[in-house]
Amino acid sequence: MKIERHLDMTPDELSELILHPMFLPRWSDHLDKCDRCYALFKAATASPAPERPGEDAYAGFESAMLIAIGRDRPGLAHSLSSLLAVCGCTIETARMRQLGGHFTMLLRVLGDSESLEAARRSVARWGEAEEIEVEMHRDVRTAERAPRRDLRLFRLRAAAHERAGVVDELTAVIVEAGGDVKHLDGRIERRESGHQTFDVQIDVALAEADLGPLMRAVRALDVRSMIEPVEAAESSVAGRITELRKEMES
Amino acid sequence: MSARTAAVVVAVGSDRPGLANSVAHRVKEADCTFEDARMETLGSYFAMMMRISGAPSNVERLRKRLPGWGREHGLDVSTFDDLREPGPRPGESRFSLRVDAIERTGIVDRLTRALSDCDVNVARLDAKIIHSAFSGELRFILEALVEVQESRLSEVWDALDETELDYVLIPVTDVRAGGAPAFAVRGA
Repeated sequence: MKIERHLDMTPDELSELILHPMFLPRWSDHLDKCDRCYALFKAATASPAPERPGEDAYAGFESAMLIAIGRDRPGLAHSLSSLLAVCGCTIETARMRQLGGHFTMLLRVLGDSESLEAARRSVARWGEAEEIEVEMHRDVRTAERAPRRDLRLFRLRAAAHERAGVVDELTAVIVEAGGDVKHLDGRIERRESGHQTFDVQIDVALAEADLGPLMRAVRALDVRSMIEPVEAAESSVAGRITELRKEMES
Repeated sequence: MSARTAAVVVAVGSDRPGLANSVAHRVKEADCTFEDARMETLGSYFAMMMRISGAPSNVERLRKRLPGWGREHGLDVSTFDDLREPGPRPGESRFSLRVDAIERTGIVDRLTRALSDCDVNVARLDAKIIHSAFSGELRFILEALVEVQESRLSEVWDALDETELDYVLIPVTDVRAGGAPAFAVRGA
């Protein structure tokens, strides 16, 4: 098992790793002790950063949404992603679930017009061969659908005793508060105590002025909940990984 | 306890505010519950994949009504029979896999090939390209739940190492109670 092999790495690999924001806190201790890493760190921070995809890397690309569902079996995720890569498409967002024995996959794919058209044809053939229902829709963002700049994305996490109507109650108060559900992910979790809860995470586009009313409305429901800006929630993911590493080390 | 049955529902259409609530309301009206649900706005589209359950007659009624209701609201709705939840196969354990890498084309392909070559089943996968808050560069973040044959664990670690992606692979439950912790980290 390879937990750490940084001494085997090339200088380029090591430089990239040292500058990785996720690992920098840990490396900072190590840099005091290791001359080779310290020299690489100095060199990497003194010179311009190596070329990496920037914010506009996919600026000229079009996008498409792909949804696939069929009887689950190993290897489907790979065959689909491989097909898209061959067509020159990049997967911007991927969501895959096993639902009731079915393989379900939801993708947002980026590519130039030619790549997306090639992907559409290839994916249709793949679906027929694998007996997977697959649809691919080119994105048609119009002026009236342009994102509103006054909205901010908030993440609502909630847990409720499993009962009919939890999602309805939560999404209803979001609509009443003027919010728009951008993402929802929830499932029934079976607790060790034997009871079941429905745990859900919802990303809501909302004007900051409407946050207070939404929080009050959610609090009035019979659910345990927490709301925070999405950027705060996502930065804590990297924090959780760092904590996990520390736990492993100790 | 009365018998319950389940079904899988997929809905796709042009996004607009309130769609998620409309679907959730139809499910509640039918006296069914969500077992597992994912709704997503991707570009200008809204997509929803869910497993719902309830009394057989309620589930059947919902399955009959949803496609017609969807057409009226610009949603393409399909329903599917619930098949057996596969769960881990004999000798398999569930692991949480997290990857954080600099974005480049083909990462999902490389990663899923490594897993597929070791007969690893991907039960759940969420991945997204994000802009790094500090450098502005594009990063690829992935979290997955995978089912790994315990006898092939070291092979899986080697395959993941070969992808040259930074990853954390940890058991969802202890596969070796009392033994050495089974985890692997690359890039630490």
